[in-house]
Amino acid sequence: MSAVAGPRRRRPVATPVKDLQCVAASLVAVTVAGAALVTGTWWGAAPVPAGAGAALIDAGRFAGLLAGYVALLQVLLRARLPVVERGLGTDSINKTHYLLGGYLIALIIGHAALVTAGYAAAAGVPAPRELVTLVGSYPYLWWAVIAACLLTGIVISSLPPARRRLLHEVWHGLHLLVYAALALAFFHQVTVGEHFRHHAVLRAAWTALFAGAAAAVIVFRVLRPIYLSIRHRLVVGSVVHETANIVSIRIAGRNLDRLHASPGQYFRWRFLTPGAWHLAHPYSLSEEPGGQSLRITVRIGGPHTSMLTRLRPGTRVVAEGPCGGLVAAAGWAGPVTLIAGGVGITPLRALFATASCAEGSISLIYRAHETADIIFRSELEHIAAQRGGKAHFLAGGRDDPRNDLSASSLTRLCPQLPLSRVFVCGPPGYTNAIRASLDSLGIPGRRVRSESFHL
Amino acid sequence: MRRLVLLVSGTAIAIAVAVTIRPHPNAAAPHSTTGSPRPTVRATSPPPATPRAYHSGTATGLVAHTDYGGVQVRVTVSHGRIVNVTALQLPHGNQMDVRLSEPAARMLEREVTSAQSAQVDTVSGATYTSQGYLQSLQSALDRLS
Repeated sequence: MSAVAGPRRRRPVATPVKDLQCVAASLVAVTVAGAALVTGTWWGAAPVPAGAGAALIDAGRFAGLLAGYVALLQVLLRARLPVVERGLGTDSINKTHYLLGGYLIALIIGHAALVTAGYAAAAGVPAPRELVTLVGSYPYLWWAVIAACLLTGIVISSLPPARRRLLHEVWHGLHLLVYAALALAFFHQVTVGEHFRHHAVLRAAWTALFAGAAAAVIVFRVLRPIYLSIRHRLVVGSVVHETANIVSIRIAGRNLDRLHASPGQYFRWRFLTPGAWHLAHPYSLSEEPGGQSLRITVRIGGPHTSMLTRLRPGTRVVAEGPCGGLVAAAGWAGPVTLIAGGVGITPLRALFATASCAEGSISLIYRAHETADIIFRSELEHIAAQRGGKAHFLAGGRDDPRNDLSASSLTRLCPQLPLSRVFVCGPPGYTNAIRASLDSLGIPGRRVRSESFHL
Repeated sequence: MRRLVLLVSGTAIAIAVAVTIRPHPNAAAPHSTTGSPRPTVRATSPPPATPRAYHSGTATGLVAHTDYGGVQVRVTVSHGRIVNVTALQLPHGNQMDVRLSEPAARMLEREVTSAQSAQVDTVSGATYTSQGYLQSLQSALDRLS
């Protein structure tokens, strides 16, 4: 693909502009095609129910099939598939996952309610009694009921009021039960599901889809990180304080270019020391990934991050990724603008040095709470000088008029912004405010890539 | 939240439309409950004249394959009259099938012995089983004609 690709670089790290846009569009197209296939299965693969309650039963079956399909999408969205990570980006993945979570519960409840009401009408008994009969008559229906309750509980635990009250570890542990729930629910789909129990081929296809999703999760979230850790001998190289509460950790290893990480991406890092080995946290690469080492930069906030300051060189590291869609496309010949909030500078620092753009047309706007919180200042100034770009440093809160990030202030700092490809990284409030400003400038969404981090 | 509401209501409308335009056989037919006993007509009212005279004897019908499984019946004819129909095989994939098909078979037997032919209405709620039952019965009767 690329003339400069050497023998060791089997794939160019940067993806051409067009490809990156195509990936997102193809993912959407595949999803829609899948939904159409599910609809076709519902329409054609089972006898149309007849008699009283038939329409309810039919609608319930459709909702059930869709629920299975959405559950599959949810798992694949979270499987850290490289194509999904690069194509959609973490913010889109998170938003879609959150939206589909609520949608899935609505479909499951609709499925259960409609099927029960339909059979109750067919048998001429009240719905609650019919529900008891159904659960008693069909194999694996109990399992499905348990699964529905689990999934509902997990969705409730993810709503902001509950999420705020739960420890991250507790919430995450609950969320992992999703896999158990989906496994429980799977059995009633293929043994009772009208569209699968009479059709060996459809049943096999449905089973293959679920097995494939399970395999993707196991491969990309468990086996591959372990394999990469061993293959690349990933260990902590050194820990350096950038400021009082921001540290950079250098990860050493070999042949790290073969991790195929792009500047702007992140890994979920797991440090194998007592008390931390069970946690994996996302930290961006704060430097273009090299062959011998990677650098991540972390703001020290909670108990986990303060542990990071005490990491000993040589500690084994397991990395899940690369993740994230802050990926600069190769071959972009227009201007590039990077807008960072706080420690959101980390991925943009790597992009500042590498993002392809027109000669001398890269600029960076970087706001931190205080001047003392600004990190990489000399590195950034050095890169700006080298690339003929501009770095603007702003210090202070968002209420400070000098730090106003409205469309007009942004364009004053960076006149070429309306024509730019824009990368934004910061806390959610910051990225949302910037995105609103960019929208008001009429910059199309496909030219903007943003990612938020949660402290 | 707004997007979720849109997505859910959009899907609900789409499902409702799809279910409506999909042809439903007997959708309007009144439901006849499968288990309720009906007065037996055999003893009280004499059957109408048999359209075709069958030889006396017992014949087993072919297995009719339905979406829910095979259906096979055996018929006994005595002095030109259908006196007994026994279901040898009914859908029994799960308890729901059994729950629907066994009462349907009992009901069909009553209808067939009273009508003295395989030309009777199917049992609503067990359409496929009924069709298989009557098919297998017709093949058995053909052997006795």
